Amino acid sequence: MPEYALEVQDYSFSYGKTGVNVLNGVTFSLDKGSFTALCGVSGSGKSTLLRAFKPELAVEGESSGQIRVLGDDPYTLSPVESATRVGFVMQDPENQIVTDTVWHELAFGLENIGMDTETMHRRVAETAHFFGIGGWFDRRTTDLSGGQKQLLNLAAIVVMQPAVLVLDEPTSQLDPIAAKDFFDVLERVNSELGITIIIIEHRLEDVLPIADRVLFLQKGGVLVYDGDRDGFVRMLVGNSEGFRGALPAATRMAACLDRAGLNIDEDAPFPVTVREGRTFIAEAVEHAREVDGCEIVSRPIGRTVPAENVAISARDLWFRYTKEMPFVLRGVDFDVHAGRIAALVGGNGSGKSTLLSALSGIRKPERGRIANPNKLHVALMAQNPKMLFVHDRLVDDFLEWKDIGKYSEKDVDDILERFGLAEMRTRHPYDLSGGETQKAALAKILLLNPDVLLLDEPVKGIDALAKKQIGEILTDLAVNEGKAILLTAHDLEFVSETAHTCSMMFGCEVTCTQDAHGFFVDNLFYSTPTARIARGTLEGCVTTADIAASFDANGGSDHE
Amino acid sequence: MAKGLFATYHPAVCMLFFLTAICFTFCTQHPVYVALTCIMAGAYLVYLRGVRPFLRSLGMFIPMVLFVGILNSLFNSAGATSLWKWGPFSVTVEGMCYGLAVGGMLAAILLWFSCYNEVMTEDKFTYLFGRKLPTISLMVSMISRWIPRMVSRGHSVYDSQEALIGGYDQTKSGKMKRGLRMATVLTGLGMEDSVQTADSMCARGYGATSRTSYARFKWHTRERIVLGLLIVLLVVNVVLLVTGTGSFKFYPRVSAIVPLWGYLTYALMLGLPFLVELERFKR
Repeated sequence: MPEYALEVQDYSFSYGKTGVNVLNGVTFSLDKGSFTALCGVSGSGKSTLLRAFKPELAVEGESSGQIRVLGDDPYTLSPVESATRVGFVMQDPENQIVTDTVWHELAFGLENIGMDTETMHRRVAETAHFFGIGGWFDRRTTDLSGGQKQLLNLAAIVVMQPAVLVLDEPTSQLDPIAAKDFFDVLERVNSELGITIIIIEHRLEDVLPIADRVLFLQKGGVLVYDGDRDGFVRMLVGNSEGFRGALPAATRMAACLDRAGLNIDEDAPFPVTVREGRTFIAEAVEHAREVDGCEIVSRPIGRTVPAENVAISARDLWFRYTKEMPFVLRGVDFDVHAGRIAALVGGNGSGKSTLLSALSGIRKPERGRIANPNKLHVALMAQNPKMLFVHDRLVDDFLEWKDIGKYSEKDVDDILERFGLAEMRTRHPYDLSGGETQKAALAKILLLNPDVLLLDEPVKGIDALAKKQIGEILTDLAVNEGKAILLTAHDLEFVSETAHTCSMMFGCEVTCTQDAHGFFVDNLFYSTPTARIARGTLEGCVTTADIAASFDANGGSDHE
Repeated sequence: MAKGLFATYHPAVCMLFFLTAICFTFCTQHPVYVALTCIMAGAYLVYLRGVRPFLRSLGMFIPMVLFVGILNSLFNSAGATSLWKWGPFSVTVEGMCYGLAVGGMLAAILLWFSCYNEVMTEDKFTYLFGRKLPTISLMVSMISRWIPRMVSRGHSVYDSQEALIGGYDQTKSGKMKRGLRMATVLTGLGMEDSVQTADSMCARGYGATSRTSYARFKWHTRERIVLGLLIVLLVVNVVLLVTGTGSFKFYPRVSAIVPLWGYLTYALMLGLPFLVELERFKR
């Protein structure tokens, strides 16, 4: 019996003749039944590494070193063996689905490996039961939600009983609730079926609590960390400035208190969940009060919001897609202000995207009206930024609208520079990373010089670093250039750090609008993880920076 | 899922039944046969869909029968019993009867097709014709996933484009240009998608060996019995039809309708979906 589920020995990889190594002497081995998170900044060769486990998906190029799956070289396996031994779940829920019905999708892999009908029925039934998809077994795949689609993709792989399950950012396109469901099921696949899992994920918030092993790849494809969760957290807390933002809120909060010298038990593992975070902060605050005698004052609640300056306003908006369908907007009143970033949050199907498209003017409301008294130029960025690109080179794409937008080639160069995209100017737009694509789409829209920017999920599926950059760009646009910005987002932490005001949509109405800080302090459940950690202990804290500040105000520096 | 036990039978049985019903309906204009097939098809549709939707569809069928009847009586002046004459038009009782029979036949065919649609869902069809040709059945399945996706994606590309540059050029050539641009974007995205779908197929062993099929239907004794019954009724009715029970003359005079046992076998055959319901009373 082979000892490990997966072994990688001194594996290096480079694209063709360019000679630049994407992966550099990577060595590790995974125990059977382990759950491993593979982390790294974008461009560190994570996906290339995972794809090398499966010959069918391997990236073309020069490789050296050895890979063993259950003791065998995957390239020597028979096609059927190779298909079943390693299962691969990819990022996009939509594109992985091949057939039109749920049952057919589940059966697809088994049909491919020529399984007899009786065994196939049994396998499919078992799998459908395990994943709880018996209820929508007969549905058409087009009618499923994004979360259901990705669960189906997972089920369609697990039905083939892989020894190793490889996942490449499976939840980046899902909203937070669907992502949580996905991770719950994934954890069951690991703990109840004993399937070895290795996953690339930038939602460390979700994956760290369930991973028992972490691998960290640095730029250039060098494996710099291989060990347990706490060691990984400590390494990041200590250095790697760029990636630290990806840590769970509880960990970042603890790291922040640790730097202030408020970590009571230096040897105890860092908290990663909200519950652990709450315990940690309660102890730290008590310690600070009793032992060091410092007084912790609450943070002032609320954020200064730039003055009211209505750009476009909607009054009593009612909208539905067809006369037969229910209303998607019901009596919505909403103002977008120049010089402000406003955020719309709420669940899927609450009408956020519809409100944006109504404000942009492409959807005519059935009742109510939208006023744009100053005839401002409104631009809408749709959810899939790839739709904005038609050319083979990014720079050609940026020049596409130069006649209608009346801008020059110099403007294009300037904006590429400003968005840090100058290096990518001759790249194909589809070859950009998720964060780069979002930035490029935003830059292309800005060339048209709009006064009002309506952005539908501008930070969907991108890593912490890119999120931070987009937040900075938006702030600059609103505060320094006076643009009116309205964005939707599921990432509440991003909203709390970036937006001036925040509105919640529920049941096709805008239920409340408040300054972003006050909004998350006043919300009990629908709030940032940091707010949920600090509630009851440190009032008025929504972001890690708030927590740091509330200690600083009391001479936190005394502890150093 | 269509109502009724018959819809749960093996697709081959259902398919044969509908083929039989539609072919027979098409082959005879005997008034009793036409009436029987109309009644049976109508009754089955009521059983499948309920009274209300059926009544709504009647709004389409009755005018059609009348229209064909009137048209035939206007343009077909064969027949001995003339009702009235106007220029080249001569309306005869026989022409009218024939027209109504043809109208009824067309209505019955449409009714049977409506029933067919309720019972023979796409998966049953693919099962019947795709099992021996797994590649074709997979292709059908993939295409029927691809079309709605492409349409909805087309809408989003159009919207995102209109929202940004729609306002600049409202002329015809501007719209043409944007249409072309949309096609380019859709092709680009489509190619990107298909690369990933191909990856997903390869990863799950597509082409690894000869494909089998997830058959959702099995042959049971019950199915074999009903299939046997259907074949017997089919043979009997074909014989009766060929030997003359089904023959009927409209011209020059409408022949008399005589009660015959043949009508009963015809009714039994078309009533098969109701016959199989008798199983409920079995103890």
